[in-house]
Amino acid sequence: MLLSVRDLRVGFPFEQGEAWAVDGVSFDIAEGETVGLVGESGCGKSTVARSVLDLVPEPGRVAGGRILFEGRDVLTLEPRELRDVRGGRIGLVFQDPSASLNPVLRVGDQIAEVARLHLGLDRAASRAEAVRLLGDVGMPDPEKWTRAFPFELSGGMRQRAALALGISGRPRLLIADEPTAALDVTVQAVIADLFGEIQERRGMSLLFVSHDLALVAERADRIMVMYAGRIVEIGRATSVVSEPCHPYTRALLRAMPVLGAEEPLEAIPGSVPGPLDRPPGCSFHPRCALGDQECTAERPALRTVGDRLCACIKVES
Amino acid sequence: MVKYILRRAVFVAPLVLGIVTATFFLSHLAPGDPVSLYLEPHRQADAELVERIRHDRGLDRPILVQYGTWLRDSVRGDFGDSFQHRRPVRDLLAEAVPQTLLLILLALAVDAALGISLGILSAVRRDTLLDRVLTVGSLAVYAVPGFWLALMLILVFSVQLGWFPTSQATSIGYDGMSMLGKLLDRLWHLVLPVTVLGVAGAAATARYVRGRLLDVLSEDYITAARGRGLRESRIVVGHALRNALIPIVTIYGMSLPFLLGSATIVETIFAWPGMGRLTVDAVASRDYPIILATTTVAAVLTILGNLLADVGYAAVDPRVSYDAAHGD
Amino acid sequence: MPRMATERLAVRARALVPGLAHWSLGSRGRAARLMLGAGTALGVLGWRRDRVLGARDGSLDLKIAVASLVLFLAVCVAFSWWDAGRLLREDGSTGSPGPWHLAMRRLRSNRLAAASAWVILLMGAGALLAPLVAPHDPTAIGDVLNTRFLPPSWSHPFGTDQFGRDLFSRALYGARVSLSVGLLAMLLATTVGTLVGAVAGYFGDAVDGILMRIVDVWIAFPAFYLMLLLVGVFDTNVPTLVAILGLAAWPATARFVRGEMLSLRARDYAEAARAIGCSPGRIMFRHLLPGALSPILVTAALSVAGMIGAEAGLSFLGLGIRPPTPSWGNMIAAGKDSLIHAWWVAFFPGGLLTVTLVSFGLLADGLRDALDPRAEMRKYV
Repeated sequence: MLLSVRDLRVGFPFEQGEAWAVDGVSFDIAEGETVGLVGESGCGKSTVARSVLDLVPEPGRVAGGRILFEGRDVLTLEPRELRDVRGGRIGLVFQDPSASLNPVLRVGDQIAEVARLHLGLDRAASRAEAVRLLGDVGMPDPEKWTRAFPFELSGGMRQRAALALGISGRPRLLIADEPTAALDVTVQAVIADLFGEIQERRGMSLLFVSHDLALVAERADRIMVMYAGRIVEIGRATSVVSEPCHPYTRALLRAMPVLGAEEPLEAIPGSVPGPLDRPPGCSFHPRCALGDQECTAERPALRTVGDRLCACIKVES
Repeated sequence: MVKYILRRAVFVAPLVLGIVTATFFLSHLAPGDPVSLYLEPHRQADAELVERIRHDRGLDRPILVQYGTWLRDSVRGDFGDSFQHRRPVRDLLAEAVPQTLLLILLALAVDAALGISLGILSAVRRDTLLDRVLTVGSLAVYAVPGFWLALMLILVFSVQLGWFPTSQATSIGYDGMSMLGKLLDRLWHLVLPVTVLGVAGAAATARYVRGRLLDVLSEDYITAARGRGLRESRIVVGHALRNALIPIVTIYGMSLPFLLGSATIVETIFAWPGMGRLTVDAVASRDYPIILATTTVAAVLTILGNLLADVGYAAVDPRVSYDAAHGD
Repeated sequence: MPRMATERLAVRARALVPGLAHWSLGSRGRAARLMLGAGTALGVLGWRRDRVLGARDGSLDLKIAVASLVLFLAVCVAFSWWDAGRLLREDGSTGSPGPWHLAMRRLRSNRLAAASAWVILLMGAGALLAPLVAPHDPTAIGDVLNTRFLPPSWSHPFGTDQFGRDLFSRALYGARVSLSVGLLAMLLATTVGTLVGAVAGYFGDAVDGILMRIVDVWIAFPAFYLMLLLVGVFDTNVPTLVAILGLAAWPATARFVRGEMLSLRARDYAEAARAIGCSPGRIMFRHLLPGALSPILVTAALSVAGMIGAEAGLSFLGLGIRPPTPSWGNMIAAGKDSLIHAWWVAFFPGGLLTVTLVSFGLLADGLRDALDPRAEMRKYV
């Protein structure tokens, strides 16, 4: 297994106590696999994505669990080794490219810097690599764009540049944190396809984080659904979408517009509870159609239900 | 670039006109006969002298004509003769202004070197004891009045330790020194005044750099750079600092009027032959031609400083384009 | 918990002694503060009873000092009575705190800012009560041969100067000048700046254009040079100095108040006020200006420091307050020449000046954080 996350817990200290943004998450990603991580905003999916590179923002901290990448725990690496993993073995692309690209450095220089660091290229070779990468991500006239500053690029072009930057160290795993959420709807699909294309061409693994189940369903091999800091369902993309197991996944699907569908969209009642006021037991039960007293007893663990893992006591094995 | 500078300079011309106009009217604020401005104080003037001055200075002409004359002369740099020194004010300015600029530029250098490095140190060691000491210390240093700091430094370093001279720009016997000797002598005299003038700014800069750097370090592109495996030192220096320091150019441009103000006091204490001391002496002896001239020059210098800051900002921030006009 | 009528009466009676009722009602902190304040005031009155009794024939300064002390005592009693009544009615429970209340709470929890506020209050009290508390006459020239340049001691905490004058007393009187000039000049600059900025920002167009061009030219002059020029033109005493400092400093306030106004007048509630026919003046001062109050307050606190510093600078150069009237600036100037053999002459007034400036700086910092809680949040988010 390329990446194995085990029982990850990430907390943010507040006056009222520790807020567990990620509260016991375990999953695997295989070599060459595309995995989608889906959930409403505030469910902790971005925090999971950043934890894999030990990049939880201050004052948060990884309080427990292991993140085994190529067999070694990222959380216990020496700073030097951690720097080799970051960018070199695992790449990262953020949501908003206008915030994640340094505004005062030329696009080509930012890419070349990583190529020099992780590929050991000299100045000239790293520049050539930057041009090649920008070409790879579909930028016309890449030579010209290496000299551009981020503000001179359009939104879609910026995310292409950010993708080029993310893969410039030739990582084995690329983590894309909502890479299309900040873009115009018209280019979202194009950029999402580009991520899939690059993943396939490079034979790397891809962890695609998104709140958009439909977008992920078409492009991922497997899907993980997250709710209130925990993963509630893991399964093959096709079967999760066609036969959702967890009530939350079902609710998500019903809230999703389907072309030509007759039945009206159903919004999920209520909203995601904050990390400090999660209800006892299953965090979803107050919003769940099946929720009752039984659900408050304890937090359901992931268990095998048919061809997938599901964390709900109401679902028959 | 040249076009950009020219376009900014277009905004400067009316300001300079406004400044010269303002000094003219301020000088006419004085209660009583404007002739008294040109009479040496505390000296009995006979009617004939008064009339002669009135005529020579054109004070018997309509005020608009006087204004026109003042405009023409001041733009040419002709501010009349000083009473005390009995020399053209222009010549006095030619000697004094470079001395003040030297002091201010060196103070800015101290400000930048000390302020930026302490600011970085404070930001990367944030919430440590060092950071707290630097933060509170810089606030205190910023608030210490320059003249009192100057006296305390003189007390310690000149009087007690005897390391630095208390006054003047050069030693006695300066003319007989070698080139190197002259340079060292000048630097030796510059240490205390430049320190006094520079540390307040350095304290402000340190506070500013700390705040900006902390803001920038929490930006996504810094997390992204960390995620690409760059060293922390490389991230701070190569990625964060440039973003944090861009606005400093503007701040330095704006700090010029404060430095000119502080320089008057520092120059007076250290008997430094600059335009600040010239002004203070002139105010004390009511030498109006000098006061009007130095005030005008100080304002024009401020405007030029702002222009320079604008141009400098455009030069360091890629997002400012030379072609797009951006407000006034 | 309901209280018996007699019990309420007893509390009321006790409230006439500041703090006593609060103590019995369990509001210990407020009780201690009230007792300390009133006790100190009474103590000063008792300690200087000879001066208090002689105030009728004394100087105006002395009369003001005694009157303000008596007034303070009266306010203590009145507040104690009123607040005890409030506590009885509400039994300690308060409604939901308003934004100013919250800001005050945040300010008080900022230890540096709270300490600064106390330092400023102490300085202010010392300045106001100088005629009562000063141990010596600040201008009386002593027995020059025996009392000149005495180092600090119990009878002369800050030592004496070249005329044998008590420097502690002079520093107290100097605080009167420095603080009052600073506060009044700040008030002048803030008032003029706010008015000009509000009018320019609210009316916009030509009014804005003309006013802001004036501000541009004004700001181009280094403030200290402008002050020097004006000092050269006018004779300086406290009122003219206040005018000079205030007039040199207003444009900075005007510029930022204009900016605030520009953004505030575009808000919906300004539009609504216009729609129901409020006059421009009413919209400006009742509806918009309160929205800009926090930055104005912070700037004002900072500008007091700037003004005090400028006054001290001018007086130091011999161009502001002139001896024998003491001001911290001219005291430091007087100490300049005796720096070598009598360091204390320049050291103490400079130290007080520095402490005052630092305090106003810290207070302004604290005010900024207290009035703009988002700034605090930004550190984490």
